[in-house]
Amino acid sequence: QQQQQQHLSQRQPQKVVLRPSGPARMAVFASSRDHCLNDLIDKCRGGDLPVQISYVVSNYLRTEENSHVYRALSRLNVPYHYVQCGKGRLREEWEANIRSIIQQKDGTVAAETTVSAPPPPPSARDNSNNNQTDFIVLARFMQILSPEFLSWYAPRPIINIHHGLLPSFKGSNPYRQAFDAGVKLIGATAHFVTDELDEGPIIEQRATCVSHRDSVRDVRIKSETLEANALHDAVRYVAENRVARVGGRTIVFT
Amino acid sequence: MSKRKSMAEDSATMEVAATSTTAAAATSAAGGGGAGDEQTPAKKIATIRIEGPDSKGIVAAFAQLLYGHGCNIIDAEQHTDVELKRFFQRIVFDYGSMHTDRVSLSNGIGEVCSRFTMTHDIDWGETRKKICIMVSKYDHVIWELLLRHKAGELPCDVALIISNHEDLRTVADHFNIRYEVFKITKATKREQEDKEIELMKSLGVDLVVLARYMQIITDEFCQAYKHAVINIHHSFLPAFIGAKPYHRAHARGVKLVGATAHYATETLDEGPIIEQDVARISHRHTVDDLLAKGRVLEREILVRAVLAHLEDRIIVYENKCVVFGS
Repeated sequence: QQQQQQHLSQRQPQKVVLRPSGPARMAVFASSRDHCLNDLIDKCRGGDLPVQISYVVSNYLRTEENSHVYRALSRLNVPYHYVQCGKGRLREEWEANIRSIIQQKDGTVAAETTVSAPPPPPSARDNSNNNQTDFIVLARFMQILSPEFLSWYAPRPIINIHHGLLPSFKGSNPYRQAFDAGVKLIGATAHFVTDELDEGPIIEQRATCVSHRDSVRDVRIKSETLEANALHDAVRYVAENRVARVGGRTIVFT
Repeated sequence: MSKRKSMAEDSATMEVAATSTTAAAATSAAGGGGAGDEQTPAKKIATIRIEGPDSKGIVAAFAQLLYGHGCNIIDAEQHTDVELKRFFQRIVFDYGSMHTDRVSLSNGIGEVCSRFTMTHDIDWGETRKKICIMVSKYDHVIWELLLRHKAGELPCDVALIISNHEDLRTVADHFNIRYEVFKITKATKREQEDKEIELMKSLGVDLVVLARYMQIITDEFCQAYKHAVINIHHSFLPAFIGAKPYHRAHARGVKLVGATAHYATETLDEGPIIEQDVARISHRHTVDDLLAKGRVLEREILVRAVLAHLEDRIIVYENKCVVFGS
């Protein structure tokens, strides 16, 4: 046994992010489309997803008066942070705003630690303050986060849902791209965000048939269900620690 | 000798997949005969495809025309692209007891079409289409085509198999089909293709099926058989155009792999998509596993696409396909 201990201590310590036991905590970023955010709220609230939404960040102003999603969030005591993005605003500016929200909510970023160290004690689990997040979910958040932001939040992952079947139809308006290409199946891709847009390791994909009868609007309607499904599956895999990133790919233990 | 049906000319945006009709009198019923053809009169079932700018009255005009000549509409399916204001229709009708004749009906169709500035393509259902299958060394797709054909699922005659290798001659022999080898090198490709085209035209080939034929065909070849060359590409297009798509799909870590049947055009793997499908994969699957799953998809997708073409269910426009009955 002594030999074993020696051997272990001589090994290179592995960098691992440990999170306290209990349900995973995520921050959800969204823009104006409701469907993925709505789906995550429903799934988390019902316990179907073993995740807590710590807070929501959005560049779309939802209010008590105009949004049932806002009302659902406030009933659940999940803070909704409106951050103005785009429209000539410098990315540095609004990213700084988002970072300060994250810092205020999270406290410190998760520390790197060696495998042999004991896990840190669980932190408080209320939804209002000091809620460190384990990952961020971009639930149809239509702004592009900078590589600096990604490395600042790292090593915690950021999951995105792209409304196209990668590697086809990267970038904007994949519905229109798919329609113009005349494909017979459309779909959505949940993936980890990396520095290059829509190039990160794929976690889950979902597809459905379309035909010449489907307009761009029909493509959107069919796609929205797929986006919500691919995303909540990907969130579950990550929350349940089922996902390993190997090279540019993922291993998903199911 | 078959003649290509002439279309009213139109801009490059309108293409109707080419079929040929024969000027000669009807010989056999469409879809192959069985025993006792002398007893029952040959069924006279025609298929017409129409395309043009959308306007009121098109459906009514054609329905009235066919009824007026004593035809019975068996199947009619239409589609309107609302954005482009373009109308597409496929009508299958029985002209077996028409009280006029084919010539006057043809004239009537021409007249209605020009009234609405539509183009049309009609197959009178008298002759089976003739296909040529082109293959290299991978044999899974050609086996599928030939077995499904033997089972009577593909309403055509396989006039010829062309390959750039000797290897698959035994497959052709098994099905009693003529097999010709045309070796291809960079220098000889165009010349060989011209010989291939000449041979196919002399045999009355309407449709060329690239069944994992591994040579890239030239623009001239595509032009000779415009929207009459169906290729099977072993990826879910437009992802992974070109060579080794499964290797690249594996490297990318996609969770779905697919196959795509499309008309071959001047741009590699970018022609109008006829049919596609996908299969789920996971991290457990090696490239060989992807290839195996892909083979299953390729077989099925190409057969579906060829069948759609043979049944005149496809209209090509804006580099996409309307596929009726799908």
